[in-house]
Amino acid sequence: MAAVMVGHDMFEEIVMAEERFHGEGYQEGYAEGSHVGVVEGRRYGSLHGAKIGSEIGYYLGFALTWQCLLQKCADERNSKKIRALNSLIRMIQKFPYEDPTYDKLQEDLGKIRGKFKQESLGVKDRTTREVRMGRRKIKIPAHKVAAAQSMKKPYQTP
Amino acid sequence: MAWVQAAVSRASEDVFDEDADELYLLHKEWNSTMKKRLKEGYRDGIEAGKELALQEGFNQGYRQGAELMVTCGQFRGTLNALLSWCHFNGHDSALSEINHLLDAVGKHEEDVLKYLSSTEQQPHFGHILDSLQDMDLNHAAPAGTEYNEAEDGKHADGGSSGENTCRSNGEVHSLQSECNKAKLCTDPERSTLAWVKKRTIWLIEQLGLSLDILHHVQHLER
Repeated sequence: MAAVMVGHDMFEEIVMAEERFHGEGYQEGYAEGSHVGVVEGRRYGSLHGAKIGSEIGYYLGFALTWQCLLQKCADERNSKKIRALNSLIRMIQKFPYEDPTYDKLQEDLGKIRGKFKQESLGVKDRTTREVRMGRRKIKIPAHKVAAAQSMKKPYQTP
Repeated sequence: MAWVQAAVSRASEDVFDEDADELYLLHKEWNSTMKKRLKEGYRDGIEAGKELALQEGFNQGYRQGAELMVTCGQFRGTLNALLSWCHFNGHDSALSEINHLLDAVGKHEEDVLKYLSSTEQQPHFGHILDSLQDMDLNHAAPAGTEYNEAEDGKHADGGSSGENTCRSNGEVHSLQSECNKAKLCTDPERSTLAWVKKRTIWLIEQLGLSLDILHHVQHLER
């Protein structure tokens, strides 16, 4: 009976030791992993955010400036355009583009894009926009975007 | 002969104790097993920690990147609007200046992106972002991509004098070198948009446009 007890204790001790060592390694790894993860995630995130921030900023700057320019000579045709610009500006200003957890980020961005396309053509932006935007595309390596997007859907929170 | 006795007695302990080797082997096996557990735990921990932190880091980075870049975008949008306005109102003389400014903003955006995607800079990211947000936007025109983080206080305090230096309407290059001479201008990152802003305000004045646009551009400083 005593021998059985001793054997049992020893077995338990071995298991516990294994768990303890595993736990120690885990703690250390977890700290390291957290650090690496934050750095890596931040890099992907910042590129992604930069891209959207730049795009939204562009729309806002363009719309606000045209709003001012058109107000100077507000005939009937212009006042229609101004109304359209006002609604675009409101849309942009309500849009929490800087919040990656906003669940309608992509959806709202799509709407703003469509509206901008429509309005910017209205204020005769066509030629210049194509020239400038064509040249100014922001280049992010495809694998980085893919990696960022594969990450637990950053735009969809519970 | 005490040393013989000592030798013999020690030898008898080692040589004639048959369990010693076995114990040694067991000890070795135990050690290697525990080392293995430690390694396994480490690997599991890294994975778990990384998975959780990736999302957190992504969210942090996203916010910072978006806030950092929205101002560039606004400048680009403003300048583009002015470009098309000038185009349709026959102010052709202003076109090249606007294009020039657009190129500067574009270059600046590229530099920021390059910086964001570089690993080495990451640890200082938050800090640099802070200084970007606090910036008075008043240093030299674009140059390299080196980010000086050590002299924030000086940058902030010396702001107004840098602004004055950049106010003159001289050539870009002379402006640059002039600003570069000042000790304040160690950080090119914070200078480009300030320079673009000054030039844009000047341009709006030259075109005789409404102060409202000026107001809008003034706000881009933040």
